[in-house]
Parts: sequence; C-alpha cells; structure tokens
Amino acid sequence: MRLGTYRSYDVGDSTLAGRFQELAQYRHLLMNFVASDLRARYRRSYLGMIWAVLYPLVFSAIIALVAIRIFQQPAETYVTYLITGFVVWDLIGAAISGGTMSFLVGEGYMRQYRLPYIIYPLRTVSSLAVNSAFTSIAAVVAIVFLTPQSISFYWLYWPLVMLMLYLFAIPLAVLAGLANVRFRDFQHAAGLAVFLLWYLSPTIVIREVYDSPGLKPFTDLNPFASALDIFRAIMTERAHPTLHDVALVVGATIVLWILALLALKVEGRKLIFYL
Amino acid sequence: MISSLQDRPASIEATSVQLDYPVGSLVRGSIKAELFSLFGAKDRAPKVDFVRALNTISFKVESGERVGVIGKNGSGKSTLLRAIAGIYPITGGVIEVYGRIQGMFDISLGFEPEATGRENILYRGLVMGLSPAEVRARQDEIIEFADIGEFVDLPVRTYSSGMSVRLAFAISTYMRGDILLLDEMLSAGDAGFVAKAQERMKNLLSSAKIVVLVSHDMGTIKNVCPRTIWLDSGRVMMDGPTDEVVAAYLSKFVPAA
Repeated sequence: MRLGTYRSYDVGDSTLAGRFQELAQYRHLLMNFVASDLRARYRRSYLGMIWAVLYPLVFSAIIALVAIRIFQQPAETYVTYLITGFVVWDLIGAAISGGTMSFLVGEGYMRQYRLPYIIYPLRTVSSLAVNSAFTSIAAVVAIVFLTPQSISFYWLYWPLVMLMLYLFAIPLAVLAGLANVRFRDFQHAAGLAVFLLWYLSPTIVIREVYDSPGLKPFTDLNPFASALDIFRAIMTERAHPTLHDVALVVGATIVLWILALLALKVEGRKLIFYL
Repeated sequence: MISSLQDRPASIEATSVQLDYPVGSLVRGSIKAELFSLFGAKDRAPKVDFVRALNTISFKVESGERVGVIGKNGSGKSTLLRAIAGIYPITGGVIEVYGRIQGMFDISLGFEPEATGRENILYRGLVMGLSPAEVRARQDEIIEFADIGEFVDLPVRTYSSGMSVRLAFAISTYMRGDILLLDEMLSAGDAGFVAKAQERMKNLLSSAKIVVLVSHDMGTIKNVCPRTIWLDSGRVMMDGPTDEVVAAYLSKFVPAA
C-alpha cells in the first residue's frame, strides 16, 4: 500500500522519540482506562479486587487437593508452585487471549480520535499487570503460611521481574490484536494456542515433567517457561534467576517488540478500515 | 517543536491527496480463504482490492474560514474529514494541519459502558488531549448542560439512548479545538434540549478558528459557510463561494424550469 504524508503540528513528530512524547501525553488516560477495566472486571461484587487474591488461593487449593495424590508432592510447596504460576500466566498468557480484542474494544475511540494505536494493547496488558500484582499478594500469603523458609531478600527483585513480564506481554498483545483485526478467526485459534502453551509451560504440572527427554529441548527454548522459572526463582527458590532464563525472556521480548512495532507500522495504515 | 508552532495561525493544506480504501481483504478476509487460495481455490468474490475514496484533492483553508463540503452519498465527504483529522491514513499526497483538531463524528461511540457518566466525561476529555485538571474544571458545566440528573453517577449502560446522546453532545461541544470538523450539524434530545444544543453549536462554530462542515442540508451550508467544496467520486468538482457552488450542485439534480 502506498503512503501519503500526514503532518499535524499539534502532536509529536513521527520519530520514535516523538511517538513516545505523544504517548506520554496520554498517560492519565491509560491509568484511568486501567482503573475502569478493573472496576468492570469486579463490578457488582462485594469483595471487588480481593477476588484477585482469593481466587488463585482457592483455585490452587482445589487443584492441590487432587494433584498431590497424583504427583505425590508435598502439598505446601505444590500450592505455592501453583499460585506463582497463576501470577505469571495471568499476565503473559492472558496478554495473548485478552490482546486479541484490544483493538476491537477501542473501535469507538479509533473512529473518532487520533490516538497512538499502541495505547489499546497497552490498556489490556496494564490492566492484567495490575491484576497480577494483586494476585502476587496471594502468592505472598501462601508462602508466608505454607513455606516461610522461602521468604528471602530475592523478593526485592519482584518489581523488576514484574516489569520484565509486563514488557514481554505488551508486544504479545499488540501482535494478537493486529492478527485478530485482520483475521477474525484468530481469536478462536489463539484461545486454543494459549491453552496448548499453558500445558507446554510449567504452570500447573510439576516442573520435573518439563525436563523429561521429550520436552526438555522445547522447554529450554520456551520463553514462557523461562518467565515462570524466573518468577519462582525469586519468590520460592531463594535464588537468582538463571542467565539462560533471563537471556531467553529478554531476547524474546526484543524480538517480539521489533515484530510488534513493524506490524503496527504496516498494519496501522489499514487498521481503521478493517474494524 | 510544538511550542514554537503554537503562535502560528490554524490552517489546513491538502496537496494531491489520495485515499484508497482497502476492500480486498474485507471481501475475503478469513484464514480459511487465505489457506484455500494457497491450494489454488479461486475466490468467487470479485477481486477488488481498493476503492479510491479521495482522488488528487488539493485545497487550502486558512484561519477564520468556514468551509462547507457537499456531494452525494459516497462522494468522499466524510472520508475527507477523517483524513484531515488523521484518522484515515492517506495513500498519496500531503495533508498539513496546524492547530488542535476537534473532530465531531460518531460522537456517541466510545463510551465505556461500565463506567459512570462522570467517569466517561473524564475519559473523553483525556482522549481529546486535556489534562485531568482541565477536565475537572469543565466537569460541572458539562453535567449541568447534559441535564441527566443523578444518572451522571450511574454506569452509562443504564442510560436511555437520548441520555447517552445528550451526554456525548455535552462533552464533545465543551472541548474546544482550533479546527472544528463536523459531519452534519449535531442536534440531540427533546425540544427543550434541541434549542440549547443549537445555541451551543452556534457558539462552537463562532469560537473555532477553522470550521469544515459536511452536510446534505444546503440551508445549513449557506448559513454557516461562505465557501464550499463540492466533491464527486472523490474529486473536487468545484471550490468557491457557497452560493455559486450550491447552485451548480443543485442544477445537476434539479432540471431547470
């Protein structure tokens, strides 16, 4: 598709710095969108955001009750394993499935105002990140009561690790959102793909399974598995994340951002016409 | 860069603007179709990749001008407004805009249904580039104008359609830009509100530095705009004093007596 030139001197220029400057103007909007999404998610519930803490605790307890008999794991460590998996997956897995709708739910704004397109997937992922931060409280509660020996100074890495997961999740949502605007079949396929990825990553099934000869080569290259390993290293294993895991997540994040920005540049020219 | 340009008078300059509206993948547009086409399956749908909505359009609008845009349905009027607003990306030529744009099209779209009227006022203001303090400063006036009573603190999904339109109108017309882009004159609600709305529109039209108004109502165009552009099939047929352009446009449809 050929391109014309549009210059509006009321907004930033088209360089990357200009784009960031333009995006920064909408930081209040983004924060209010996130608050609105969270209110909508827990609307008319008495407990509100407490559900973000309570749900993973109860969910993990239920699964643990059954699974400890199958995997013969000590219940305490398995519950904290599940909850930490919950925190990570609720951000990076949900970024794909939730990201599919990110542009479509922004249609009303896109048809009226010239906002930077990335604000829509940013909204999705930021809401998920705040929710995951609350879910982290569930992880802390479980650890304090079940495996207090896991409490360590490595918890100080938590903000950094959450930021890392957030940056990893954003381009996933951008790509999923763009793909879904182009092909509406994508949201259905993405649901299945995320489900498959969930099974192929150590979220619920014990970690040792993923080191079995059949799965290990895939696990070693799966940034989702590394993201889970990083979070568990600092939260439950009193350890630095391994260099391999960090390199894999950072590398995947960089590649995904390049792909997402390119896709946004190319598809952004036509996006409004596909809504 | 932005601050140094703030004193520059508002203007719009379009040079050889072209806009191709892609329809190819709207006709096909599914993974199934794309996959089948790999195996040689032919699309039954006619192969149309794009529609040329704007074709080498050039014009300049200076500060202080009120310009009408007329033409039959599908002539590219609304597309032109959205291209000026930067919502539709153009595929050729140049559009240069100085000044803050206030586009008023599809104003009822984009409410957050779960958020209250008050919250939606804030979101809409922020979307329009205002700071939270600026929105708060206008909030009470907007609520008073919309006249939706205690509903302002209830989720917008509980509103009647009339109330939604009134709130959308009150918000959209309270925000002031330099360049006002209007897709048909807005009016909303019951008789009492219509009178208020008309008064508000009049103020809005007089305070904007530039107005571009798309309308099918020649009376409105004559009242508001001394200059008019007539579009047909995405091309400028005529650009000049409203009386002459409207007369030429109407003569195409109404046979001379």
